[in-house]
Amino acid sequence: MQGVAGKILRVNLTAGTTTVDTPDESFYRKYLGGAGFVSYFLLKEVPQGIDPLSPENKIIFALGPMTGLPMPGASRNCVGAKSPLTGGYAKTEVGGFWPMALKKAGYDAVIVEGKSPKPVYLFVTDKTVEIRSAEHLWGKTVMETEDTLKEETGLKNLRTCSIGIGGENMVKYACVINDLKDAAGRGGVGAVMGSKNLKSIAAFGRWNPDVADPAKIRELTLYMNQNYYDLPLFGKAMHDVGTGEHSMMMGGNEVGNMPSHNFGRNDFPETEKITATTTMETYGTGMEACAACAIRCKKTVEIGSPWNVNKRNGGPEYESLGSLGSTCGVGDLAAICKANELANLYSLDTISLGVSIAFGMECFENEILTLEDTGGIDLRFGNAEAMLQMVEAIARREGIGDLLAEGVRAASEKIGQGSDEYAIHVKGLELPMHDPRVKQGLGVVYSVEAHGADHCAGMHDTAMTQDSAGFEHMRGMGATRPLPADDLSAEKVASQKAAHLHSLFRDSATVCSFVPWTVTQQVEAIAAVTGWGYTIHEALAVAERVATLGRIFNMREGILMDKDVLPRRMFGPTPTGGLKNGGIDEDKMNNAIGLFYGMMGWDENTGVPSRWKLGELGIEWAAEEMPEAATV
Amino acid sequence: MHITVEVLNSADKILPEGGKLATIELPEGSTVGDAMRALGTPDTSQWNAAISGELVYADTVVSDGDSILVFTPIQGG
Repeated sequence: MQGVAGKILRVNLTAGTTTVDTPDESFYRKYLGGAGFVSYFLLKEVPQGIDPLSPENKIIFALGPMTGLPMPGASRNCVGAKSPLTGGYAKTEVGGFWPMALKKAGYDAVIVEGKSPKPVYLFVTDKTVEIRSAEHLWGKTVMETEDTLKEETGLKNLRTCSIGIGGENMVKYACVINDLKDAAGRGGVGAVMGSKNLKSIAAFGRWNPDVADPAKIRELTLYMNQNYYDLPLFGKAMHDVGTGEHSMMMGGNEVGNMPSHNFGRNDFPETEKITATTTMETYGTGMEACAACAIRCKKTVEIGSPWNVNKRNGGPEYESLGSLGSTCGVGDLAAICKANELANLYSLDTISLGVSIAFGMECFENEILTLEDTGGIDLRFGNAEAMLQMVEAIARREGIGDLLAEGVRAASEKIGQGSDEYAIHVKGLELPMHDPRVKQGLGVVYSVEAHGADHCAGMHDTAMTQDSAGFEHMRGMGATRPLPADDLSAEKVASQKAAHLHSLFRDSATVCSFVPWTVTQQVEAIAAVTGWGYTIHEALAVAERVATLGRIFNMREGILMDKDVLPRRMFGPTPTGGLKNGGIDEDKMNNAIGLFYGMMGWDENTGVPSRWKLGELGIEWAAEEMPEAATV
Repeated sequence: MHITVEVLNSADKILPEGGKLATIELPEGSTVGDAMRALGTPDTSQWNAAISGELVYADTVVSDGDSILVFTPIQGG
């Protein structure tokens, strides 16, 4: 096989053993890598009904065929597990240098099973695999962990994927941090790592994959390095300030896409204070990159006393500016940068963290939570100090933080008193900073995606309203014509389906969505790496397998179509701003969801994958995992 | 018709010269797309636009006195 290592490392922490799986080429071609591997192994190997934080759960780290090559956007991996936050399927993607290091150690994936009796880390190189004690690392931050591991191994280019105290304390939305600042953010995979007493996977190696057509890979890489700055949609802004640049956030604020006050409002008067452009002008120290990427979209910030934000821990992305900022009503940029740093040090998903704090704030303002509940913290919207206190309390599971560490769905179920109205989530996964009242097609994807509300899983309707070079790229995946952002016609659903499948293919190839490769170039790259006669049709089939297997995983856990629903708040207007006359038409949304099911080969009325679709995709084995009553 | 167009300055310059506030004259029945072309927006340029806080599109017909706010397409993560 070319392009891949042909080896999947399997680690059983209960037994303290490591073994290697060597799947054949047909497996690689069918599931490709990343999300494809995650979806396959979760459904095949994780038993139905287990506690996600029990030893029976598995956590899977999977690379793609291009990972390890010096191509822009190729050093990425997918992490998957049964989610402690949603109780269902979780997959989440991340970049950095660690994915390249794991490939250079000679592995395409790591599957971790069981639970170690004591804290450990995994040391993986091209010469050895060892389960080592991490008792001296438990309680340390991600940065302290990486520094210690580099020092004790003597490998200055060692790369780590670690958890901080958020993962150790099994905060339900704890993430896994690659290196120091790149988060496999969503769904609580860091809590699964913590539940296994696994502190870190440290990787190093010098192995290089054999590539079928190195000249083509060089040609594609050179093209992107020379042209990315002028390509549509992503380019200049990403390179200069990363996500959340001034014009986008200010425009979003104008039309109702700046979530504030727990999505109760969608215009935030202090937006200009917290844009990425302001962030870079005020505290920025530079832009950094994942391995071999010219785009360098990762902003870094440094702030002196009393905040003491270390630039090594990165800077806030748009999602973090929105979730820890406007969604909490906080316009204090230094506080947001500090909260973002703490989230990286402690391994917390900034989206779920911010939305959970905002949920607490709304409960407090409506006297569902009191000063007694909060331990004396004045948990009002806009209180930056309270927001930071909550980050600490959640990471340590102290006081009210222990409740908010469960995520908004579980917290609202425990609090009661109508607080479910303030719980902004889909399937338990808190909403990202893209309001489906503005981007209604993305709202369909938020609803149907097995993982929950994932802003990377579909098309941002606002970016696809014009016939332009950017839209031309979408046509290659099945989009027909530009449509308004609030359109929910069958034609829009078809475009969203195409974009959803593209995202799942990308997550299986583990290629970054911020590098403006066309889908044709992505397919060419896979063909060049593997030597396969790869086509877009084959790529989209991989994506359909991911979506369908994820859906069956959820069905097996009792997560059915009644959970394919947006929060009630999304069906009404906001008091002010661009959505004051807004709100999604529920009948139109339900119709669009049914259309989406149908276009996916799932039953239009129940969302159950059809047997013919399973056959077409070559995954008939998955029918055995479907609840009998649900079979269509 | 008098139409005001404000283009928010951005890294991805929507107009060749960057941000701009302009009042332009357009015939009755003109659209947001006509306004953008009158300002010299390249065909490949990508933008979102709003009038009175609501998203509008290239084919949205404008009225005398409208103020169009133009900005980078809302996306990203």
